[in-house]
Amino acid sequence: MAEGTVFVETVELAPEPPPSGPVQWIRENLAYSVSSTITTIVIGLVVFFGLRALIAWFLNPFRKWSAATANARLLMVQAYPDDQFIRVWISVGIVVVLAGLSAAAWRVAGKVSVGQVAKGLLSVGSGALVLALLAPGGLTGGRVIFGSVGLVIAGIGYMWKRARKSSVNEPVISTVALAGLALVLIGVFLWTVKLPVQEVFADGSKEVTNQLIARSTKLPWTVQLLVLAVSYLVGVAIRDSISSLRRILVGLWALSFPAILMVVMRAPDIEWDTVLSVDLPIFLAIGALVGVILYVIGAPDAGEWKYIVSAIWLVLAVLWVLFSWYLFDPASSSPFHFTSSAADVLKRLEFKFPLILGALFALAAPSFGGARAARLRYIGVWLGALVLLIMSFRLGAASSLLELSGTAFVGGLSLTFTLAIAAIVLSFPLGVLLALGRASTMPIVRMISTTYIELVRSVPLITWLYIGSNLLNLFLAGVVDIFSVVRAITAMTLFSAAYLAENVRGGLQSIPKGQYEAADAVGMSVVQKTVLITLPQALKAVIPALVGQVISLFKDTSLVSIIGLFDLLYIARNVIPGQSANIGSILELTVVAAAIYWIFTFTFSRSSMRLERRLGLGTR
Amino acid sequence: MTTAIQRPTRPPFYRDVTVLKWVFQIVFLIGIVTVFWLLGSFSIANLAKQNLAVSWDFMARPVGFQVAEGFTTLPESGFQALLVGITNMLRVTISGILAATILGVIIGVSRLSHNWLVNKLATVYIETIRNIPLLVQIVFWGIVVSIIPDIVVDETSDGSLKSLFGLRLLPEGWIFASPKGFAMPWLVPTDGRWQWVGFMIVGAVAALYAYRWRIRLQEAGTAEARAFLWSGGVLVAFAIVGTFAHPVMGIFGPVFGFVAAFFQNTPIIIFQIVLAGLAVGGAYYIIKKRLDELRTPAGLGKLTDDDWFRLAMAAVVASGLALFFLLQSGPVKAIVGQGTIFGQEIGLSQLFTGLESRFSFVSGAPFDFSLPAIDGRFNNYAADAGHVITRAYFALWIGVVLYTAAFIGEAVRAGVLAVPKGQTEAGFAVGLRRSQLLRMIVLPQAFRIILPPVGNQYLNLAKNTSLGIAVAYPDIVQVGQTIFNQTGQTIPIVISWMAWYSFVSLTLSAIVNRWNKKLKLVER
Repeated sequence: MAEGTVFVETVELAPEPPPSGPVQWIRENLAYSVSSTITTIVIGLVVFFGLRALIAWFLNPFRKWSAATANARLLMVQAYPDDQFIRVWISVGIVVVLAGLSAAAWRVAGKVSVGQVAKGLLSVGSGALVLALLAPGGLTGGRVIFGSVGLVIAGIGYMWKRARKSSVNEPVISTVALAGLALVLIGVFLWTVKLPVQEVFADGSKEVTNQLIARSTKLPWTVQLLVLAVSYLVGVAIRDSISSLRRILVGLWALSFPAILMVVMRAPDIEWDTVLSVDLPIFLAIGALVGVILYVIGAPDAGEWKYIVSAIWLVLAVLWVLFSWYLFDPASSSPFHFTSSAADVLKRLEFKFPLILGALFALAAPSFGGARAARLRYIGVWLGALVLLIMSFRLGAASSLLELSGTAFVGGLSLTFTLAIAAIVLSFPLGVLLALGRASTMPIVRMISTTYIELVRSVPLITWLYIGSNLLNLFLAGVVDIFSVVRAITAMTLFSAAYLAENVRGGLQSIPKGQYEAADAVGMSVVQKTVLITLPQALKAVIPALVGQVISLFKDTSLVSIIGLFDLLYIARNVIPGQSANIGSILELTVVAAAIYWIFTFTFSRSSMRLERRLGLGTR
Repeated sequence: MTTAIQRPTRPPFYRDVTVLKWVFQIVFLIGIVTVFWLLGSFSIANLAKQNLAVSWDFMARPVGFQVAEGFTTLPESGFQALLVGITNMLRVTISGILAATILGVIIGVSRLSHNWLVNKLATVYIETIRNIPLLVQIVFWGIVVSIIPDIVVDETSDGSLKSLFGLRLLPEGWIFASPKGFAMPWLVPTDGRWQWVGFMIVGAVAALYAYRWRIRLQEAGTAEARAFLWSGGVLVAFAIVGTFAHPVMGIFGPVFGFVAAFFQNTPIIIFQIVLAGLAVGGAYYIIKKRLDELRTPAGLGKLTDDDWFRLAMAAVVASGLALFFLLQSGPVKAIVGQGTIFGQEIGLSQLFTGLESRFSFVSGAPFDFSLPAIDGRFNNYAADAGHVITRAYFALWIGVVLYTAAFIGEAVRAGVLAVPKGQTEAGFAVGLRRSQLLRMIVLPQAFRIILPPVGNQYLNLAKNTSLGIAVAYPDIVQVGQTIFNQTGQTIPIVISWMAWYSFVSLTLSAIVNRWNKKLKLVER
């Protein structure tokens, strides 16, 4: 080592913390250059006056917000009979129970750092304070309370944030605790917070009184909150002992929608003697017969005869349905003269559709059969499907016990949800089939699928709704009387299937070629390759696109108001402003409808983003 | 040593995949055709019950209703009524696409701004607009338009705007507002406008050449391009000169007249032969191209059944078309203008006759500046004074523009974020300002990524104009619905809707695809 080397002792200094504080923040985010300062000032003035005008508009005593609050029931479920209203609460309760159980089963509970909570409090509180200060007319009355509550919340948040800096380990809070706190707060608000409500009496006089926010529904909502909490706790208790809880819940979610719609809300008049004398024998006979056949056909040996027998079976069953449905009506001799109602048609088809279903199961049996256990499981699936099929026929054919003022037993927001869910559920299989058809190597199938997809996509939805509401009756009038809601669902299903097919096709194209080759190499049949290899991967890849489609379909349901269905928008726009007490409230109600749509769509899109992150899509 | 080549034996037909595939497809096709046949026969039977038969007669007959706005409000026939609907739809679509693009780019860039306020404002805009159904928004704007006059109109005047802080922004009588809509000054086109448009087409070609010339100069290294400046200058020069010199285009009048006479007087059989020849030639070209693609150096590749099907389809369709043109003179006559379609003479000959009359020598300015005028009470605006934006038009237009702009904004943001960071850093390294960086480096590259989703949004905008029916805007859907309420002819109207919207979709996607191809990175 050379002499004269000087060792300099270096001291590692901690890097200076970046300057922080409100002034620094403004310097970095609002005024980092001359032009940005000017932009900030100009935009700030626009925002200031815009917000002020908006608040003034909202708080204007001439606004008829009471038109929306007094008609909340109409907006949600239209004119559901009063004496049966408990059914609506049971439906909500079913969803709430499932939501609580699912939250426990999927372990949504997480941890959130105190810093984030403090930041949230700070922004919520200061937002409230700013709104109170901006409101024209100065700080008077309720605005003082509102503003000071905001100030207190913001203060707590800020102090907490400052206090956090001194501690080394950042403490965390469970999100469940936060959600529980929020539930308790909501429950307390339901019973305590009062808002001024303007009431218009028959003689035209008006009176402003302070009333609870949900004065007629505070009890049911409190019960729902409790049910939510209890079902979550139950879910937590049982999630470790029941291993297939998630699968069961998925099944229950799938069943809950038809159950709510057909059983709870519709109150079907089920004739139990028919169920015992007709449905049960059909189920036992066809179930056992087809079960035996499936057991034989599912045996793991080669043989074309299985396919040939199943195909002949399928063709015969389809022909039987077609002939009995269209051509030979027992009530008349002429083929083009029908007077049957939908219920009659359903009754006549009850025997035949299980046979078609059985043929389909038989066709797929060689692909999913195999060892004894697999075959028995397959027969179990068959029996379950048969029960569902027979039950839906029975429920569809039964008349409703409700005495309704209109034609539909759902309306308002529940109709909006019914349309969206039914259309997306029904269009899913059709869309997948269309996507497979478009990607298939069979030219005629491909041509027909492509034509369908492109034609449907190029024409706007409102046209399809008109076609549904006018042509569908023209096509089938006299054969089946189709209910207007069903016509709208049909049109939306056919429309949404084309878009869904394009999304799924994107997923199919993203699958590497090696996957197909590997499936071929292990000797899979086309059905096995599609169901076990291609579709699961394709569908997983397009989940974000599918959620996006659910969102746009939810928004698109508003179009049915043009063809005169009583959905949320129609009631907000045409029904309530027509009431004598609420004339001139159309703008307020449109804003309320927009807000309701916004809340749901925004929630969907945020949860889809979370789902995307959780699946790790787009980050690979 | 030789090995015996084992020829694969064909499996029996019931195990042959190709045979099974085709049997399945034919059964499938028969099933689909049967379903359509059943539906068709049911609807005909049901129509017969109402004493109706599917007919297109309403296209030629006068309709008994008035259209709220359009190039004519009293259509002479169903066909013309639908045409009014189509032009109304195009009016909203074209102006909407322009406005939504500009607003969308501004929103997209704002979302990337470092300025907290601008950024948050754009985010709030997008999250609000995107999550509310468009129909609700259109309805909302329809209501808002009808109450705007209460706020902005000077009560003492006849509908003219209030002054703001004692300051009159526009001279009195320039803008009127009423619940029926707004009236504003406008350059009202006069007879000379067609010649001027012709002049501008020449100008556009000249501008294109100017653009290419400047780019060439830059590539040669002799001068800085400033290509947009140059081509824009050429256009402006043509526009100004054209205002005075447009009668020059009158020389095209006789040319168009000659073409019209040609279509009118040439025997129809010649056109039939030409069209049939075109069909056959097109099929020949397609088949040859496909075969060339399949050709390998060792000769013609093996054709799969799919290839055979495609080639056969091309041949069958072409021969069908050729036979149709040769045997049916009616449609051909309608196309060249010697016959009628739906009782209208709208062929090529009539097109050129129209152009001839519009291009023959007319003097005077192509446009007149005109102020709006009030005609009678309650702000009935005079028809040909100024320009009236009706309530329905405004509600639909602002609705689709704001809605589409939110989606375009997101596409722009995604496109800009997809440009590699190195590009930005390199741009800053050579000393570009942020605005220059955006304009010269980032946006041109982002454009390639942005175009496909934005093209999709244009298509959505075109389709969404059909929601104007909620505010009674007379587009093709609303007019068609009125017609079928009157005549009961649902099926023809539905077919017209499908034909028109398919045409719009195909045209728009063809334009976007063309651009897309042009912008694609040329890779090795």
